[in-house]
Amino acid sequence: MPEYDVLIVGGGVAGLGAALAAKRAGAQVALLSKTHPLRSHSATSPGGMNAAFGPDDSWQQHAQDTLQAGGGLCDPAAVEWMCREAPQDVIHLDHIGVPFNRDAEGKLDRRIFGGNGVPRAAFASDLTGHTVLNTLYEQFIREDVPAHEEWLATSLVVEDGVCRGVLALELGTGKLEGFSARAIVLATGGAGRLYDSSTASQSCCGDGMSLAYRAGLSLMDMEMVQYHPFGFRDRATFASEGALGDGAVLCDEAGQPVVSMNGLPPRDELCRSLAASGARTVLDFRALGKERISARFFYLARVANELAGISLDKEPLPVQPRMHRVLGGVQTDLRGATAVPGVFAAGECASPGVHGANALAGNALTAGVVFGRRAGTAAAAYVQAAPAGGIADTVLDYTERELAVVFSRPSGEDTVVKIYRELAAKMADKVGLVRDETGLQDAAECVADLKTRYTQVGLRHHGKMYNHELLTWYELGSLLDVAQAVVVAAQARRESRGVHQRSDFPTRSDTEWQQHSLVTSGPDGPDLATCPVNTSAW
Amino acid sequence: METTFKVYRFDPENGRKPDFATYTVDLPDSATVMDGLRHIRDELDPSLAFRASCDRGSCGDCALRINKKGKLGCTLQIAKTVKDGVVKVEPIRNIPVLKDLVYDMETFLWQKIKSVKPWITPREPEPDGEYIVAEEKLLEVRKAMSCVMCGLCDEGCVVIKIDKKFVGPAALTKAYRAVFDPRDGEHEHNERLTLVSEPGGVWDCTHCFEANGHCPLGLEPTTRLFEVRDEAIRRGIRSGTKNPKVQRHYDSFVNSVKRSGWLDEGRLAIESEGLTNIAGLAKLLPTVLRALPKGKAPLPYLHPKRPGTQAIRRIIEKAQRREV
Repeated sequence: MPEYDVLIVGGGVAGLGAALAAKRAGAQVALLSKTHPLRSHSATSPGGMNAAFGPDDSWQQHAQDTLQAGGGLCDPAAVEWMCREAPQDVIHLDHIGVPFNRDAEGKLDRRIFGGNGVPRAAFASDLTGHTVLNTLYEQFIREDVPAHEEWLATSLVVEDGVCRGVLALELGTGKLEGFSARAIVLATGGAGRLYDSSTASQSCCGDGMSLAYRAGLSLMDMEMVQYHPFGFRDRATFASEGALGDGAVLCDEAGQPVVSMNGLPPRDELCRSLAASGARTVLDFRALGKERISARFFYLARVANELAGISLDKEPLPVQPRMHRVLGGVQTDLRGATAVPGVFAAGECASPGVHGANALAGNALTAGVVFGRRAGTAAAAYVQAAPAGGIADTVLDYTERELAVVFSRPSGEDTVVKIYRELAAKMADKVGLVRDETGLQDAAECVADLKTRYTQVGLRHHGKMYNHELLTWYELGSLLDVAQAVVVAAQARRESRGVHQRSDFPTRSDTEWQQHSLVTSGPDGPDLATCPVNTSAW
Repeated sequence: METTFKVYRFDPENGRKPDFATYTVDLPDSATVMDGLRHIRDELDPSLAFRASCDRGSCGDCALRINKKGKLGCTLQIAKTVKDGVVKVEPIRNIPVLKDLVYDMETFLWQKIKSVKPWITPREPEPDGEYIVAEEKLLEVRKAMSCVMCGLCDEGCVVIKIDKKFVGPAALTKAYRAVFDPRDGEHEHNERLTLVSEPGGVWDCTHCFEANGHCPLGLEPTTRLFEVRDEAIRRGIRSGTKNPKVQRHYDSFVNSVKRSGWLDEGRLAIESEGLTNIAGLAKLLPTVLRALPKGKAPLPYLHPKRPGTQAIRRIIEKAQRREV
């Protein structure tokens, strides 16, 4: 059985950052990831990462804009640390080679996103996530960190209340194996595939959220589901919201501008008004000219041509809101620590309280980089005095028998794919931009029904090697957990705040609901609790 | 649009030889080849294995051979590739296949990427803030970094086809990213340039330009490989430590043209082997003996100067000053 001090689960920006930080802090660290790190969803993040520099900006202003966007639900302490440390992280990324765009003086250029008072997003064309991921990966292979690629973590092993490691399935062979670790950093990414018209990669299935949930940890603010206004009409991709700040214009199909940068409403309001009006919108880049499009939208120009047959310098790109990400995640403190000693979480699967009810555009990569590093450092510090990892053979045996049961179920009419499709369609239909009790109840019943079907469904393919149906079975299990948490929290929050809008409770209620929702797994299903917004360190 | 997919199938678990399976799919006109494969796996045959992640041309996971051309499955619309109603899908070439359309990237690409040490060491003195760098200096670095590591340039490489040790255009494009990044430390630069000049590196490229033609992003890997090689020469690295013949060949070529205005092929052959390399020179003998009776063996050091040799020499000297 492989044994490590710190095992990072997930190879995106947060995971690689955590691995490098833990290694720098002297820990014996390894990485385990479902895909090769360079295939992570971080590669798709286009626009930029917020960090306050220069005389026109300050970390306080960045924090202010973040808190404003978060609708009273951000933890100010988490926001403060992110905004204070982001500039140093961006400088570090520049020093290790992220090819950030430069201004006329050779300094970092900035672009502005909605909700930000000043341009503060450092960017590398519209390849920011891609180049940050690749740069971190370069340092990762330089450090020779052992990497277990194409392994799916199937459960966290917690004994006597302490982290011992994970069990994982090797996708190439179908082999289950225990990985002993004193500390685990979950950095498995988001759960965008919960919705059928999202911007998510195939891998975003809430794996880490579900691992933590099943280990008894709380999922925080799960009802907060963000949409992106500039999704492609029929593909899971999108144009950076930075397009508007860079001079593109959002128009209706008659060419009339719908919104300008001066009056740009926050992302959630824009999505709701676009969805409500039913207007078919286009994003018009023509005013930028070919050269500027190439410098700032290098990726989009290619993919718009390949997937939509559009030349950005000649014709506008049809866009529509698409589900973007679940803002909530595994509840952590400012170091990424959870309530189980030795279990840490960072990146999109985690919720240190920095996004609140609506993430400020440009903060996603920043949060992944800052809190990934913090979690890696904290995990390395934790293992100095932590009990050894170790997984009893009986745990592995039990899990292997469980898997054998799944394989032994007869395959019938129902399939894993059918259950997934019904789930994703229901979530988009009833737990989307605007919710109400009737719809949420419908969704809750549907999810409960799908959970039952999930426990009975058989697999049609029984091969061991790269059995995608088996992988989907695991992913669907995670998504059902996440769905339940989202729906329960959305039902409980009887108010409208940020991205969570209830047509039956259209106003914000600070007296009752300026607090986080927490969903934990109880004996009879999900338990809902609340906790106050943590202002202690502010 | 109804389309016939002919898909390569190979499953080591069933012991059968690789073959093609045929599926009929009916998808909207805008559907991609990846949509087709997913439809087959979800609806028709759950045993089909392939890789796919971002579904938008950002991650490089789904490089495949589609109707005989290396492509990213997720950005290629069926309508743009279908021929006589058929889309034929195979794994990329020059790589061990694990199952169906899943292949082993480890030795094909990941180890090669690591072998060129493509990481940046901050140049001293490391500033407190960002490096002050002109945008033009980073433009091409950024373009090279937009590479999604799909491996399609290596798939099309005629050298890798016969020599798996050639590090290949993908890894050398990755090297380009580091070599031309103005923020990288000088010491690391030269170490890397020596590394890529060793056997299996830049000198093993045959200049066929296939990599340029195969890159789905138009990043011109062949051209970038040349630029890495030229940069090595500019820094005085004319070979690696294990292939001194390259440097001798290079020097002889230049000296010959400098002396007489054209290439002294006999001299080149001898000096490339090395004047004291008896074994190497002996290896040339059979060729010389075959060529002599046909009048095809050029006598070294005796060929006449071309008109304008002086001007040619001046051009070379000027170029050499620039290299230094």
